[in-house]
Amino acid sequence: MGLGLKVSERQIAEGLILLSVEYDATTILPGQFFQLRPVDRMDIFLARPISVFSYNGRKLSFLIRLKGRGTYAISTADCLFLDGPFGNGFKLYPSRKALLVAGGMGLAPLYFLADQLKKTTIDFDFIWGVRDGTYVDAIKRLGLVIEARIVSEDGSTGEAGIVSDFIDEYDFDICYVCGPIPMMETVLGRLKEKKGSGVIAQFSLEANMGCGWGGCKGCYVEFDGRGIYVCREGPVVEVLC
Amino acid sequence: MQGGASSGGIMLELFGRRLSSPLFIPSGIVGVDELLAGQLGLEDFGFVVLKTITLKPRTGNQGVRVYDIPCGMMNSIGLANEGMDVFMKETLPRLEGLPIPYMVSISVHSVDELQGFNRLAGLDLWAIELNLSCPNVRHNSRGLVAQDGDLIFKIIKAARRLFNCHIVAKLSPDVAFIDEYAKLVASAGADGVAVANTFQGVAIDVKSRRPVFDRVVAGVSGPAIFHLALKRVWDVYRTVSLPILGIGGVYCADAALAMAMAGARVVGIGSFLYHRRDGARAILAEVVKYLEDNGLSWDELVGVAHGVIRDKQA
Repeated sequence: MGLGLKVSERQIAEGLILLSVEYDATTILPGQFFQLRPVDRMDIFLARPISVFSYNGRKLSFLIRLKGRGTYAISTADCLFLDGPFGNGFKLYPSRKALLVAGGMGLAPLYFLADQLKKTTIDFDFIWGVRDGTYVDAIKRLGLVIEARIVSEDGSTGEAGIVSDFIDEYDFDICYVCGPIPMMETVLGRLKEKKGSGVIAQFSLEANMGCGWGGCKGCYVEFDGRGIYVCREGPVVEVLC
Repeated sequence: MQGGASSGGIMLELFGRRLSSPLFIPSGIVGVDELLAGQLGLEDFGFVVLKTITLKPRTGNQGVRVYDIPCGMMNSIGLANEGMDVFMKETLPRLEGLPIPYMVSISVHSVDELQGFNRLAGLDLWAIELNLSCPNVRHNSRGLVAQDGDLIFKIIKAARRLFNCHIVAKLSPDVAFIDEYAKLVASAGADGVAVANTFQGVAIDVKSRRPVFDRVVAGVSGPAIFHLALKRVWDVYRTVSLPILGIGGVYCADAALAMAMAGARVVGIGSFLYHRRDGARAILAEVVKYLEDNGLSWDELVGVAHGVIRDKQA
C-alpha cells in the first residue's frame, strides 16, 4: 500500500537524477516500476511511474529524467512515497541469445535487465541509442558505466545513426526494447521484416498514470495494433515476430 | 444502534442496509478486477459503487487520459468499460466475492437507452446509480445529460418504473443551481443523490501550445475541488430530504466530517485513493475518534452544520 522512505543518495547531472532509497521489502523484476512522489505533499497529487534502474536487495535506485513539475519535486524531496513494484517486468528465456535495445531514457529498465542477465548464463548484446551526447555525458558524471554500444543520431558520441539500423548486425532470438514509442515501433518494424524468424520481442511501454495498480484506466496506449493498459497488462508487452 | 460509533468502527444505514463505514468508493475509481485482487483495503469502506457501465463496450478516450494538477488531477477516461453483455455474463457472478456491498452504476443518455438495461431489473440488486454526469461523454452539443433538467426527470422517472431497487442519480456540479436538479430527480422518484461528479476543466500544455486532452475538456477532481463540492452538498441538503452521497475531493478526516456536516449521508473517497491506496484508513480512524471524543453518532453529524437555518422543502 506504499511507504515513505528517506532518500539515501542523490546525484544530479544534465537533467538526469539518480535517486536511491534503502529498500528490502520484496524482489523486483527488471521492467517493473514504482509509483513515486514526494511524501506529504498534496500539490504533487499523482505519483509518477518510474522504472527501477538498479536493485541489489538493499539499495533501490531510480534514474529519472527531469521532465516537469512532478519529476522536479521528486528530485528535491528528502523523503519519497513509494508504492509498488507494479507491472509484469521482462520475462527471461534462459536458452535464448538476447539483444537489448534502449532509446534515450529507455536505458533505465534495460540497465537493470543487463545487470540481472550478467548473473545468468544468457548471452546478450546491448545497444543504446541517443539523440546527442547529453545523456551519455550525464551518465558519466553520475559515475555510471554503461556497457553498451552507443549510437547517436547527430554522431556527436559513439557511432552515428539510429538504433534500428544496427540490430541486423546481431545474432539474437530475443530482443528487449525500451524507448520512445516511435523508436520502438521502428524497431518492431525491423524485427517483423524477418517474419517467421521466431524472434521474441519484449517492449516496455510508458504512459501517464493515475494510480499504477489498474484502478483509473488512465494508462491506455495503442501499440502493435492493440490497446494496452500499461500498468496492468504491461509495462512489458511481448510480440512474436 | 443506528449511526453509532463503537470502538470497532461506525454502523449506519443506507437504503435499508447496515454499513460498517460511512466512507464509500465512488463510481469510476476502481474496477472489479482490482477490487477482487485486493488492491484497496475494502474493510475501510461501507460500500463501493462499481465503474459505470454502458450498453455497448467502450475503449474510452484517445490521447492523455490522466493528468496531475496541483492538489488534484484531471481525467478523460471516457467510461472505458466492457459493456452490459460482459457485465452480465462475466462480471456479475464474480461480484459474489466482494466483501462489501456494491452499487451498480450505469450511464444513460435517453429513456430508450435505459430500456437496454432492463436485464438489471431482474436482479436482486441493492441499488443502481444512474451516472448522468460523466464530463467526458457528451450528451449533445449543448452539454451533459445532467445539465438537461427535462431529460434527467424523464430518465429517472423511467428508471423508477423499470427497477425495483434503490435508485441514485449522480448529478453534475457544473450547473447553475444543483439543488434544482436534485429536486427534479427527487420528484421523479430517485431514492438518493450523488453530489457530485468531477468538475469540467481544461488544461493546456504550454510547450506544445495545445490542449493536454484530445477532447479539450476533462474532469477535475481531488482536494482542489473539495470546497466546491461541499457547497453543492450544502445546497442540495437544504432543498431535498433524500440521502446524499457526498463526493468531491475528500482527502482527510476533517474533510469527511465537513462533508457529513454539510449533509452527506455517506462520504466518497475517490481520487485520493490514487494519491495513496490506503488513504481511507486514517480518515476512518480519525472520524471514529472524533465521534467518540464528542459523544456523537454519525446520524447526529449529518447536516448538523445547517443548525437552525435548515429549511427543507422536498
